[in-house]
Amino acid sequence: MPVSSANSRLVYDALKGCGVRIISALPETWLVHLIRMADDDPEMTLVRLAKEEEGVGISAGAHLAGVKSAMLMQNHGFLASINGIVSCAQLYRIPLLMLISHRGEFGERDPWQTEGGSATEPLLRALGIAYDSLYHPDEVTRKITKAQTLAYSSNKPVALLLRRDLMWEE
Amino acid sequence: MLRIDALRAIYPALEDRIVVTIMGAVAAELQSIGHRPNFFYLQHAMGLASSMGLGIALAKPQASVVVFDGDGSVLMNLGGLTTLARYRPRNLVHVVFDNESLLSVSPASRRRPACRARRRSARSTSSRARSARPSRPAI
Repeated sequence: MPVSSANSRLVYDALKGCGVRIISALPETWLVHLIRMADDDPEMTLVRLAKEEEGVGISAGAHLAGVKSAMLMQNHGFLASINGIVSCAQLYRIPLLMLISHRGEFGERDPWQTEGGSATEPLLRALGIAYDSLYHPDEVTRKITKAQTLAYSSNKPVALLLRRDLMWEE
Repeated sequence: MLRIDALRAIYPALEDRIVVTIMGAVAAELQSIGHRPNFFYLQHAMGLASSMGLGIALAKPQASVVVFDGDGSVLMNLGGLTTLARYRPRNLVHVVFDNESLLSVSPASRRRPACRARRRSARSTSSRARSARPSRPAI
């Protein structure tokens, strides 16, 4: 399975480097290495979810408890989390850091993923959520750090889209 | 037993605990007994009180965390119970007030006639009259 382990390592180290100690996740193909890294790391608490929306509550609780956290999910998981994002994270001004694997974009071969690709960015814009994309390994550390900085200065959710170019080796 | 009486009974034990409530009557009743800075009232995001409690409990293993939830909220995050079961932090207690209805939210619901005692006394309920409208109140 050509998911990039090297780029997953860059993403993981950047998250840990900016102080994230709780990661909530639901498995998806592009996140397989990231989730394994979190699971293997005794300094990281991985919370495996039944539904991605739970991760919003977990990150909100972690924030109130003074611990930095992040959500790892596919863009369809983001779709499954919308009410939690709006009525918990936005309402209570939680600095929610979301790393979203962007399925259904150019190059996607799985037909069932394609609707999500065209819905993700319009929904992020509709919710007023600041977001950026990670295409290239050189921008990973810098953008993850800056995403968290903005989340904390604004006390609002911030999203990073993990793009196919970064996560999938072809 | 009425939910507010249950809250009054355990209120002294909440003094040093982090408390998360779900929205509506649970939050209002706890606050009416006496707000404390360690209480957090999640006034929306039905279902997420238990997830918030889990996040706090995992982030602060030395703290004692209590979640006051409702049956409607639990139904909206039923899968979250499996996550709670998977991690089962020892410092987390999840209390579910099961009034078998989605009637907790509006202030009007608290002015309804006094509750009838349930035969199944094991359950802590503030049961509403069966004639109450089943529709979900506006949030």
